[in-house]
Amino acid sequence: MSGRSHMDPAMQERFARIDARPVVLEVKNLGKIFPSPGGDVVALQNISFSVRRREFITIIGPSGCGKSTLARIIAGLEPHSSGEMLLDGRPVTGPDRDRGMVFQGYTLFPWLSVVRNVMFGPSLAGHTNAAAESEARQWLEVVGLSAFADAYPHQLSGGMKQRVAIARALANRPRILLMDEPFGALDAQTRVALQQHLLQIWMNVNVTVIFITHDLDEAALLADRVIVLAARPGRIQEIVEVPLPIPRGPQTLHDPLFLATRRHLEELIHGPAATAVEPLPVTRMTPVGDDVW
Amino acid sequence: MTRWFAVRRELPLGRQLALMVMAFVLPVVAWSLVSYVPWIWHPQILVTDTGGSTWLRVDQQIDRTPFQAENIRLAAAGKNPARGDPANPIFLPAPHEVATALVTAYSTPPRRGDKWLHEALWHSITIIARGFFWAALIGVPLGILCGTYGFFARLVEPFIDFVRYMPAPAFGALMVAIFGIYDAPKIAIIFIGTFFQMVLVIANTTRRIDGSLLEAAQTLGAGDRQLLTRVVVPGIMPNLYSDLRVLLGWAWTYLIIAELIGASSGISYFINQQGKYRAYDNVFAGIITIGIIGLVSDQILAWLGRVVFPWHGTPPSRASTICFRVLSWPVRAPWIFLTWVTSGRMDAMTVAAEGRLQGQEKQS
Repeated sequence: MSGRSHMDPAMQERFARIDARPVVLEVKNLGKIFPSPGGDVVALQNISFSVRRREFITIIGPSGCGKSTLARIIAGLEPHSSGEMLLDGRPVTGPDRDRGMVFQGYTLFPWLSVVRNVMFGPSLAGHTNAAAESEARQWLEVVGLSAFADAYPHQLSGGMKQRVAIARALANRPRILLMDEPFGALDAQTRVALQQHLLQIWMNVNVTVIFITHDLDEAALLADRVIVLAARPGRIQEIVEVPLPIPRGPQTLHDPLFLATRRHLEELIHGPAATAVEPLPVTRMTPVGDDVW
Repeated sequence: MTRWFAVRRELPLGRQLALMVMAFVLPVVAWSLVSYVPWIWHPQILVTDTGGSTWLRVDQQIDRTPFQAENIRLAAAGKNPARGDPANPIFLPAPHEVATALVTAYSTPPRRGDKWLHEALWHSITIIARGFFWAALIGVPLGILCGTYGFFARLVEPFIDFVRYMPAPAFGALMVAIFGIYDAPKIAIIFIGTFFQMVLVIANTTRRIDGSLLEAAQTLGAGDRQLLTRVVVPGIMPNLYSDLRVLLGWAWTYLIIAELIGASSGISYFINQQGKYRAYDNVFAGIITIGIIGLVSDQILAWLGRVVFPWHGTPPSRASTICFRVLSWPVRAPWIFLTWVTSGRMDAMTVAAEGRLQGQEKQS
């Protein structure tokens, strides 16, 4: 959190402005223990951070660091074992419409058309059918899928499904949009496109995003702040502020500041010797070893 | 050139159809060979000429061994040998006889007190429909509740697990004592035969729903009851439908037992009665009729499942979707009209109410 002195003055100002915004989510000393026959497993320990309005937070960490568990706890799908979690100052008790979630596995309702999937939240909230539908169509417009309103999920590509899932979560106008490795199952090109779409949507919609990922580029590209977790037990290693101006685009990936941030994240997660891969023992399976040269 | 045997590879359409036809042609060919080729099987002799025998009768059907023994005896006694044609036992009529019976069984007036075959058949169908209706009416909701709530699963399933091992026909005498001798005990047997399985099968189907859909719905604000009505029930519909299709097949199995308790009736009574008259061609006609009804109704239901749940499994062809739209129009029309009217009126009412509110604001 400290050490903004190395940043560009404009970025220092931007983070000062973010700090001045009201806190949406406050996590204090959160812990999670999974009881198991072989002894309790500490999944998360002493997690404390706060998320301010319209911030874009990414949470990254090695596998087994409990980042998905943390997302599920914030969503209310999983109870926490200790500590506190406050949404707008009120403790979170269970899942509700104020924390919409986008999962890696799409989770669209296959029996509902695209527009009806997006209407799901608003109509649960008691809107009339017509009101919910016009609302839903607006959100489909936001994610650029108006033309597919009446298609069914099985007719869409993975990227389109995930855009519908985003629209469906946003249609509830949640305080927080939680995304648990939402682009993990997509191919590289679609993922890059969706990252850009998400940034655009975030600019156009009043929503705070908490985005779980294991992709360093994704984490640094999207976030205002990256929460880096360490594994066993899952704990916060560092919260990295990304000193990159918005809006960000594909060209940001070549920005020296981006690369520096990315290298810093990589060192945090894999240690300083990250790039050195342990060599395999030399075992020749072919008599001619020179034809690959 | 694709191979006929390739692991997990679908055959070209032409071959698929050819094999599907062969599935029925091959058994008929085998049956024809046994029936029409005299040196295949034919363990009996149909006597055409008694010769010098004192006890053989013309048109009598007799096993080969005593017939040959009789001829040896006659030859030794210097009398004329008896003659006859190789024949199959009467319980195996030839295909053409069964084919004729399939027509005549429906066109021949029944013996006194019996019913026409189509009447018997219709009676059987109503028994199945009523038994299955009651089983589904209670079994489907109960199964869904068991699959959704641990409370119902623990309370209901152990007892049902216990009862389902009791064969439904074992309840026959009891059902007659309770419900009398006519249709009611038969319906009860169908109910017992399908209900207990249905609850367990549907509970399992309900448990198999994708848990992440439930979680997604929760983060969209669905409460417990909405999870059930808006996610679980629509989500399991296609699987529930195919479960019911399988269970309907079971109902046909129990029908045969059910119809023989109390006052016999329906297609099983017809088959039994024809057996007593030794009219085995009619017996086969009855059995084949049940098979045809089962196969055709199942195919229709499978097709219906594909068009009603296009998002599940193999999607239906465009032609069948259109066909379904046209056929189901009378059923869907009132529903569409109703939703159209209610949604339109609801919106009109909201607009009017908002207008009044705005008017009041202006006045004040």
